[in-house]
Amino acid sequence: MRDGRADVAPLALAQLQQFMQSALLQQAEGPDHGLIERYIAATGQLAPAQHLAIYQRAYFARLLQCMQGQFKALAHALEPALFRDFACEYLRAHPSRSPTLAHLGAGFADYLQQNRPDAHAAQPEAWIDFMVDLADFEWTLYSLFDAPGAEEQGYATLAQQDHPMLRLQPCLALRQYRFPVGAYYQQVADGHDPDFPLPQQVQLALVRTHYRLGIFSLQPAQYVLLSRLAQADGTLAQALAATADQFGEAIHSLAPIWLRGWLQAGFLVLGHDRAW
Amino acid sequence: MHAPHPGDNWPRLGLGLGLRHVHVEHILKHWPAVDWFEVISENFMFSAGRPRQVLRQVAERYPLVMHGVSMSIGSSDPLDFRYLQALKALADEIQPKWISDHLCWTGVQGKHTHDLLPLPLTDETLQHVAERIRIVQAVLERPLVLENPSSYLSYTQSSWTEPAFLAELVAQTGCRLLFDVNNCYVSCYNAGLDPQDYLKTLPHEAIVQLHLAGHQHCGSHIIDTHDRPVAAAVWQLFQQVWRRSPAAAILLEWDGNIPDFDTCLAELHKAKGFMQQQVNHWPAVDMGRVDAAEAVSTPVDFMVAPLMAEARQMAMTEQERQDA
Repeated sequence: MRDGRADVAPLALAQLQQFMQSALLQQAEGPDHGLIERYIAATGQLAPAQHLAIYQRAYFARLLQCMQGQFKALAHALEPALFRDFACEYLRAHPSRSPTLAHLGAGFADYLQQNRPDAHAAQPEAWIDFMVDLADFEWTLYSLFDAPGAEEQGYATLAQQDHPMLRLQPCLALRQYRFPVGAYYQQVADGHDPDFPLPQQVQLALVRTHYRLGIFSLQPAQYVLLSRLAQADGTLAQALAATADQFGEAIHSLAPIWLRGWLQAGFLVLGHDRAW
Repeated sequence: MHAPHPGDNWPRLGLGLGLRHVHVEHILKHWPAVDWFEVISENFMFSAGRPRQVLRQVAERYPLVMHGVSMSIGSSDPLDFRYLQALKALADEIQPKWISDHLCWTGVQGKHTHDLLPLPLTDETLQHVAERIRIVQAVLERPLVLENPSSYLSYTQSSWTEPAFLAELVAQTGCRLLFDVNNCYVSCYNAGLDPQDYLKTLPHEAIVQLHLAGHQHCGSHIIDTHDRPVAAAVWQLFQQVWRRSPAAAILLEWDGNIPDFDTCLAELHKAKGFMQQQVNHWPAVDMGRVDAAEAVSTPVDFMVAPLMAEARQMAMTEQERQDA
């Protein structure tokens, strides 16, 4: 046992691994040639730098394939070269810190927003807004795919539409976008090559029910009502009252119709009383 | 010292395939005749969605083995106990026959390269890895099964050969081996070594599983691509190894350009001829097709769920359906 911990590495191993990792993650700077010769053995076929280069080439290629799998619609929209540039910059700035590749693209939408190519332009460019929205949309879907859901608990039924403990199910996300990203995504999924869409405010509910993902368009009042319901400890009655303040009393006559649709689509579960 | 026990009662699983997303629908529909499946642990450890639900169904029908790629047993970072607990939780749920990972490191300073990076094979590394294997085995409450990785470089400071290093780990920790025949061939070629020398030192009695896969020959080096049929030279090596480890479970990995399930199964079943020593004719030179464009080594994109086909735009009401 060294340094009081059984799994603490010898210094030489730590130094070598830092050198190797740096050579993979920060290829632009290029590893010190003297260190390459010091650490890596030559063979009759390849010089040390050529051996290292096999790992260097594979690092970005491998992770780029995963990013393309997680952001298929965005990769389609940007086309391969531009998507590769953005994804590689993201991977350089945010190397993976998770043992699972399922988290690889978690920060991509935020990264694109924070590193907008039009950051210094007088007017924001619409295609960049679309790119950021589409990245967020795809990542939200991807997250819901593996998130804890209500499949085992079961969904609320039409017979429970007046139950005071109706709550949104855990595998549901409400999103507002500046572009119809859901429709664009669907067209790409169906094998089409859609044009960049025109700006259009959209509200969406992304839901996983019985392990299937659904994309639902919402009206603004529906979006507000569901958002209010999503707030902690809010009841449907409270959410409805708050929505009526914003959209008028007519909401009260529409809400039962909406509620039936949401129940049939698996938006809702029966919550539990707080345990005191 | 933990010398392997010849009488150890490790199950004889037979011929298995890696469970892949693209085959799930086929498997759930047809429940095909395959002896067992190997699952990538990280695909399911953190899943609370359909992958884990599918895995539970598959586990009811087939023996499973968990194969990991992120334990990073040789990293100079501290062991990730949250990772190990998640691994243990999955094992408790699906009851795999064993849990394997690679003799490698995947990252340091909290980062993950998602590559299986080679270790310097020194006395210090041996002590470090052996201690970590003991800890992992205590957490998992079972022997760890360790795989020889494919490698594209070796370090000047290495003082052990890989098979001798593995043998010593087995002796010190009681771990077992997943011997990847293709990785052995690839690593030996890339290091300018003879696979026959590798086999002479390998502790065959500790092998509980064999891996087979295809590779890409680039002339100056070989890339472990898992994207094509097994090369003739690897089958030849497999036949030799099988004679020495006839109880080992056999698994075909096919992770890139994955063909349909039956094609994978047919490739796997080629192993039967080699196991029965019925195949004795080898190509004079097995260079395979030398490709100018290097493919990605150890592809991982097969681990990303093919989500796009899953998500659909839905209509909420009858009126919306009609509008659509």
